[in-house]
Amino acid sequence: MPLSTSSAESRERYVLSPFSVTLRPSLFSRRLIHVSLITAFLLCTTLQCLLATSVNAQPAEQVNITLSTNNDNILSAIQKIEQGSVFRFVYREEELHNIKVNNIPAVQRSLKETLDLLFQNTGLSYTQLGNKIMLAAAVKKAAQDLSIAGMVTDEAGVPFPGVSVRLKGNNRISTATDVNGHFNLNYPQTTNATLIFSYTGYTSKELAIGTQTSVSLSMNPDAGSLNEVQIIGYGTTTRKTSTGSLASITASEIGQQPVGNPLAALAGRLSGVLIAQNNGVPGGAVQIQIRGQNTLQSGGIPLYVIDGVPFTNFNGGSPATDNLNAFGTSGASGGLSPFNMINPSDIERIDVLKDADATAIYGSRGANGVVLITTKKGQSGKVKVNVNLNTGFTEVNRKIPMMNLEQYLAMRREAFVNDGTAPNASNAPDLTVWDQTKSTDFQELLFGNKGHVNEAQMSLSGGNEQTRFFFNSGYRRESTVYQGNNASRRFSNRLNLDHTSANRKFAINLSVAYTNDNTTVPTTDVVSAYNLPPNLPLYDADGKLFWATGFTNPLASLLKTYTGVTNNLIANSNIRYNIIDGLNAKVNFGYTSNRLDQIAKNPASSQNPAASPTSFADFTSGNAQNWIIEPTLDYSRNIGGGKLTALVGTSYQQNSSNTLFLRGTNYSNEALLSTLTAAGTVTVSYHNIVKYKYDAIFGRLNYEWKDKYLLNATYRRDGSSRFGPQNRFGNFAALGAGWIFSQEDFVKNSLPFLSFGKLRGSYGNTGNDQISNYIYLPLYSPASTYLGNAATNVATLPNEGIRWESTKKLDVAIELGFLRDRIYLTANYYRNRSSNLITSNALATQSGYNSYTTNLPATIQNRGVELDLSTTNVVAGDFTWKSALNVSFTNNQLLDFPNLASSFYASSYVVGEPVNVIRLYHYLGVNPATGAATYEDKDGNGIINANDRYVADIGTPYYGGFNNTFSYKGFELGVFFQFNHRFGVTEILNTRPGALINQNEYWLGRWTPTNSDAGIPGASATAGTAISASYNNYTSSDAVYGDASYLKLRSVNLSYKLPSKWLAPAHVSACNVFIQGQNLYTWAKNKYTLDTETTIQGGPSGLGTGTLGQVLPPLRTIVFGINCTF
Amino acid sequence: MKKLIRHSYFKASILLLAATFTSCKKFVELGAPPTQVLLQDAFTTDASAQSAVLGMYTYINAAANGFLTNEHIYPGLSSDDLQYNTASDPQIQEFANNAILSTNTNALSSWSIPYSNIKNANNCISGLEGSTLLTASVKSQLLGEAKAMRAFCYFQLVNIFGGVPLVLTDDYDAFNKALQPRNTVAEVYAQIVKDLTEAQTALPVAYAGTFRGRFNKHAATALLARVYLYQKDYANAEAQATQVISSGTYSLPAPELAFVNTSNEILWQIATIQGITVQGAAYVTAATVIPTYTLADVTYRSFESAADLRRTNWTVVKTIGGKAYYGITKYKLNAGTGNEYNVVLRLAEVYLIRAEARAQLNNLEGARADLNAVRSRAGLPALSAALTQQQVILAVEQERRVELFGEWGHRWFDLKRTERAIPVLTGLKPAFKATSLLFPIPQTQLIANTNLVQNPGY
Repeated sequence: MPLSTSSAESRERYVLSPFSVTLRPSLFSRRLIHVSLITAFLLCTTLQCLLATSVNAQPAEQVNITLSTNNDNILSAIQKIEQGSVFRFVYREEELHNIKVNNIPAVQRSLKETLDLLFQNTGLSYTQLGNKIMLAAAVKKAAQDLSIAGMVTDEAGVPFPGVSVRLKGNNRISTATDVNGHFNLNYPQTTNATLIFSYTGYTSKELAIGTQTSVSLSMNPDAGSLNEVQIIGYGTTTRKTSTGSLASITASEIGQQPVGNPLAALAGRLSGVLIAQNNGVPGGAVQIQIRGQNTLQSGGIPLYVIDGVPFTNFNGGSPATDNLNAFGTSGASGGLSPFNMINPSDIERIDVLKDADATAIYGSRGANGVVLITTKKGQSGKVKVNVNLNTGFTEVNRKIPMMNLEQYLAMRREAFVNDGTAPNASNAPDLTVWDQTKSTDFQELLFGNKGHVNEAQMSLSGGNEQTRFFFNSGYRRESTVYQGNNASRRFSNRLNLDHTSANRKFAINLSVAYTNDNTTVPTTDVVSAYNLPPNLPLYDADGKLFWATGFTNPLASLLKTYTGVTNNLIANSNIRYNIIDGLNAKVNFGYTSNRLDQIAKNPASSQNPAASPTSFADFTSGNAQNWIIEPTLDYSRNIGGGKLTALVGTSYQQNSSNTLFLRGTNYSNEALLSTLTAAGTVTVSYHNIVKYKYDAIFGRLNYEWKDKYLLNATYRRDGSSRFGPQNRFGNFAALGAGWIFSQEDFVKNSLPFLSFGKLRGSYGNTGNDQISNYIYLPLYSPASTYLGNAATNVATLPNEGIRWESTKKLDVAIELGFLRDRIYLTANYYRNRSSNLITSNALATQSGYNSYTTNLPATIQNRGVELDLSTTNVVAGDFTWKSALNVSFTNNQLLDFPNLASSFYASSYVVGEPVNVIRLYHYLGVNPATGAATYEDKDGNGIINANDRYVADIGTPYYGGFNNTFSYKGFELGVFFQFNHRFGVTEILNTRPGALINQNEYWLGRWTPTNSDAGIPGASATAGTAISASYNNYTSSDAVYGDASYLKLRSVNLSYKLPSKWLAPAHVSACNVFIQGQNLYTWAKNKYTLDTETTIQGGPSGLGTGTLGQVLPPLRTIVFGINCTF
Repeated sequence: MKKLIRHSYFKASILLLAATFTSCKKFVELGAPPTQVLLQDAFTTDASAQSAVLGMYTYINAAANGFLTNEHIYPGLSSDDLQYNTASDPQIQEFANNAILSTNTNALSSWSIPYSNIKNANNCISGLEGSTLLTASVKSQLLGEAKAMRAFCYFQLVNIFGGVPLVLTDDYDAFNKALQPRNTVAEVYAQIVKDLTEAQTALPVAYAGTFRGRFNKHAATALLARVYLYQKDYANAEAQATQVISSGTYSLPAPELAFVNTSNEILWQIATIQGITVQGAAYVTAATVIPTYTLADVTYRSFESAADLRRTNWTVVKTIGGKAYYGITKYKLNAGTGNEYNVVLRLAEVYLIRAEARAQLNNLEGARADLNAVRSRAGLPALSAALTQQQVILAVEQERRVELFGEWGHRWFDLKRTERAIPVLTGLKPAFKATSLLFPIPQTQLIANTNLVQNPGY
């Protein structure tokens, strides 16, 4: 197979033929799915491939070969050498055409000698770069030639050999960088001479020379290519050589989505990663679950690492959450995500580590997966200014079809007829007192407004070879869809600075981000009032807010306001010193400080005057800080034909959090609720101070042999202050291996269409310590005072023996690249088993406690298959179409639970079923005579009770996303769909039809005496009637439960790059105009929910399974904008 | 030279790493948080030890745990003392029906809450006894309070459930404590007597703090008198009651003032922050609202005279929907702020203890004098000197019924200990049977501690 350099400019016409493939993952043979894949055959006669290998071959003078030539042309001579050695030639085919080489006899010589003899007087010159020999036809230097020298580095600032450098418009004038990344090129004097730098797997760059005689630049890998650098714990790898399981998203995908929270941009795009927003209120929490639920009660929060420094906000609260207001109060948004403090446009890439190989280096904190965030760094060269302005609107993209007033009143009247009772003023004010002609569309009233989003970002980037900077400042304002003047405003700033000493031995990278967020929203999410009776009056005859027994006027709820002001500082620095060749000492420092001040106001005017209410306000001030220091030593060396990398390090971390919660009451005037000074009485609700310390030693050994065989071993010993002295330290280790079989000759020869193939696997254990602090210590805590004196109590029983939860992770994957990686498939199988589960266990209360926290010998298993497929479907002229599909199949199971039947959890868990198992009654339909629901009496004892329930299918058997990007000339269109197959509630029911509350249209099909064969029970207004009682089990039956799958058009992005000829006169180097949409449309089996996946803590179990009480859904957001670089 | 520098950098780095590794262990040691204090450090100063002891009072006072409600209402409903008017909670109705299921969560809290406070008392006793840093008088006082509190909690438990596990050690033994089997009634009483006798010795006559909110010597003595009476040890009951009565510290004010927190009748009350009691909240309602719990009709009708000041002052008749309800108004307040605390021990009971003991010892004159002390405060005439011993004993029962109604399950305990429950309640309470006298051991506890044996009949 002849090798030649590929020209970045030469574009073959590739056409794809789509066909359908059926995947049958044996693991889920029960649930067989058909996935349409787009794949392709390449209609191309020759395959051109440049293997970008690392520099580790021996020098040409040390390798002996035997070669004879007789009237060979150069190409056949090269072929002979390639067949007999590991060396590969790089050249431009047209340059070598018809060049004859010298005839030499078959004698063993060194390669250098052979080449020198062969090329003598042919005008050819060669350079060796590792196992690549770069050939060039000698070019005569013209008298008027100019010369340019320069240096090329890779994205990490390391000299980059083998980069092709050529003059734009004249392919004959070219060279390649040497082992030091240096190049020297002579070129004829022309106007606007421009150099093109290219390397397979890296983005080609153009550089106008102008009057310069020396240049420097750095190359960045193509997103998605094999050389794309992937960030791993304490280092980097590439997609090619990685032995771990990672999923990544880059700035371009994040930047296409108009989201305020970077985590929200990940939804559906990463295999094995389930992401759900709690609600659509600005600032709301986003929850992430990587490869299923690993624990019964401890936290499942992944470890977040920003620029190498862990970013931890979990402070031991229960339930485990990293919300900024884990201690403190909350507004309509509920939990506040710490990632609202991070401007999505600061982010270069996010890598999610999933298996033991990738996560064990984080030891105890790797069990729930690791999310690595890398922020943008400066680029050397002229200072670039980038401005991005966009504006748009938000709205609820889906409303619940509710009964109208007429239908509602008919249902109510019918309910009283069914009950045989008469409506009166106390049980039916809607039928007897309130106006029956005026109705309110509560959805329109409460959340029918359009919110506005305005965002302005400006970044500056520049520097020279040694020092580079990136500064980004952004302002984002998002108002809500509620009535009133609610908005969230975020002002964020980031400065990243990196400096390398002239001898490149010392390097420092500093990054400082400061964010201020000011959010005003109602204290409660008024969306939950969507089902009020449509004729519930909102105002009384005097124009004052109307109050009725059993109802809170939703307009009153809007008068209760919440203001949260967050100030967040994240400062990181990484210092590296190169001690001797291959040996580096590094230290990471990180400091995060978050201050959150909240006021939740409850004016008397927002409360029912019948209870003679008084105004009060809650004030919280929370201060959370954490710092971390991580010194490491790393060493890399070529040994035995391979590359060995070793790393050792330690980590010290301390978190502290201090929250004061005060309540002011007895206000004289509700206009003064913003200040505690005006409060008649101030009481301390709590003052919470917690500390957490953590340290570790860790090491990693990595060996890459012949670019084919990869081995990676990691070990970590972790100590956490959450455990007692004898169990404080845990040991975690993992082994990963990879085989790049596409490097094997027999594969190359027999499967020429396979451009890349790798088998990899790993096994290891990681741990979890996301439990409350101080569980092992017997502590007296302050209790309420007694006769004016302080009192203390022991609130929880300590358990000195508490120890780490541990997860054993097995991971096997195959990665295949076809047709020069135009089709790239990764198939991954994993099996995680978690044990020593920390949970609260029952204790006989004669001990003084009803439970204690302990490690249960139960085991949870999560296993699944993840498929990632990316394809370049069409490259034809100016048109390209690329796709990316990911599907994750999941299965969660409680594998083992000794003595479950006699434990506290006998009714909570079932061995062999998912940990969030639910049991449902089997609904048999309606009794046509009475209109009551009937259920199967499973045990036949004549009573319907808890024993008659069946275990229901639960969870998300598979989910994923499908992204398509089309580009034509300056236009680019991205369309992303997210899908989720899962079991859940299919029809929402509020109390029961006929109660003093509105219902959705599903209940129009209910039983009536004239519609006695209906599938849905009848209406009843009164508790205790036969129909009414039959509804008690209805929502715990399969009548309203089943396939609750959905498909979401999650985001669409259309941008147009203005032609440079328009921009040049204005000295603008690039400009895009764009329109972006998020959460655009949902197709769901459950028509009666605002959103299919919002999850609130304390709601139904399982992430992203929707809530029965409705919350504000993630909003449809459409923005228009312009992005220019100067 | 350059090589050497490189070398020393290398060495220094290795040394630094080695040093950091060795300091690992120390780093993650974290003492108690700034907001809490370690158990072993809680008894190192007088103030700190006192706060731990006060924790016992605030614990049983915590409205959330329902102790003060449970201990009044459920035994009251099980006897002929109280009646449940709304019948809306089937679990509460089970008490009124004498058909309590072992899954009843209210019965569970009657079991668990006293044990939680016994845990508090155990921690205090063990911490105080182990401490050498406290002022002797303070230590003695606190130890007395903790023992009296433990005795009080066991007294409630043994009378509701029968013999219960005697758990007497501190938290370091929690897992063993959780598996202890039941002790006999006699063993529990022996421990109660031991604790109260020691408390009596340890406690001073003067009250610590304000408002008689904590145990003093007389309060422990009064409780001991009650305990002896329940054990039919009449001589000791009389002797202990006499100590309280003859101390001259207490008197019987007019009924309307008896439950005010400054009342001189009170021996021990559990103070609340707002000056409102849970009994007030449970019994007192607006004029037009049917109280959830009222005095049982039979008890209301058992007042011997309409002029009994207790009937006129401690009850209120509400006729709602044509039906009369007899509200209990010993406490007057049910919301806001006030001057009422939860009274546990008061002088009237001590007189009645002594009256009963004397009657049983055939000191009929002494018994009548004590009864008359209580009757005269209620505006009733003195009892006839012609009464026989049996009549005096019944007169004590009657006097206790109309004096102590609605309080601490007195009526239920009296009927049980005097073996009068079966004659009195049979017929009146259709489902009542002999095994109803003990509440069931909660099901969850039988699961959590397999060494426990259920009471007969459940």
